[in-house]
Amino acid sequence: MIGYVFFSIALSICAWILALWLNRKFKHEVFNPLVIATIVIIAVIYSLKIDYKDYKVGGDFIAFFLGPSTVVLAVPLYKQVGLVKKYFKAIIIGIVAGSLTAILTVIALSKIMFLSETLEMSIIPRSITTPIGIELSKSLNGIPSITVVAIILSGIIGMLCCDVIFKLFGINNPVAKGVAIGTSSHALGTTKALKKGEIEGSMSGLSIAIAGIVTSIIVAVASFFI
Amino acid sequence: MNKAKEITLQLSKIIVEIAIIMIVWEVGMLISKYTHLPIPGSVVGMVLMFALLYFKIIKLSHITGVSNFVLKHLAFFFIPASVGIMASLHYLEGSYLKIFSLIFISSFMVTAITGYTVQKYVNKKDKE
Repeated sequence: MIGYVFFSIALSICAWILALWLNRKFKHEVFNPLVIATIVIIAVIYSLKIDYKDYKVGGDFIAFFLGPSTVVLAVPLYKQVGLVKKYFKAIIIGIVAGSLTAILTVIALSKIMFLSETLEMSIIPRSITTPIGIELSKSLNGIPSITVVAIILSGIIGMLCCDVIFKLFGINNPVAKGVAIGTSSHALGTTKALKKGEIEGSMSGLSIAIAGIVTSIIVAVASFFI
Repeated sequence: MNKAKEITLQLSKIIVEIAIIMIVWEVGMLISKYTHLPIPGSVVGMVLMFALLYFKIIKLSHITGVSNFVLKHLAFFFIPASVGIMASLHYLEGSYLKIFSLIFISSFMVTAITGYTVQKYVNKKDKE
């Protein structure tokens, strides 16, 4: 048991270092460190015939630190507090618009694609931070495991596509970029926003918190009326 | 001898930084638990840390080393969840393509609309 804990932590760290190295070497979007590290780990687990449950024991240890590392997002936010004060209205309006879009598109597309109601409810919280998303999923009678998959997929897709979207719609303001990334792809997107710059990173970090709260409020109000 | 002293000093600084961050996180978790706020403890911790920095109770230099390191490697902590998708994919059985395209379209629209809206209002503010 203990052996597996050390093994999966060591494997994750090695995969991460390898992924960072490949990312630096090729400097291309496709070499996203998280995607590469995930593929490497899955390949190793499969080829050594290790049960996912055994990897998870060490994985849970790493995932535990997601909580404390969220606290650290206060640092870039503190450094950019002047910008937040100045553009507070723009930031809030943007996040409310984005959160509404997230919920409405999921509902509309689920109807068009004839997805089951359980799936629809599980995917609604897909753009917000995992702990809030799981709670929201439960309150909607969704399945939290599906919600986590949808949240991680949203994060990866948002992270990989945001530059193309910004180019397409002529979005070049760093505040706008940061808020858009944080609202659509939570902390995962924020890892990318932080690489773009301190303004993008801090706005993205701020948006995780606000989008999570705004989405919870929208869902609470909507389910009260329905 | 001098070098050993330096390393010890560095190491204790790192430990203190980690301790500060962990304590703020833990307090955030406790606040979230006992006030039954619909906001998770880590987010409460983030707001709390921001307040502590803003009111100069904690100085940036108290946590700067560890926080720079964590911010640089934030995506690392997502690896287990990302690998975990493998174990939960069976929930999506038969609807892979639908769900993937749904999330893609929805993410695309959220990013575009949020970015566009914020930029519009930022430009408006700048003109004032």
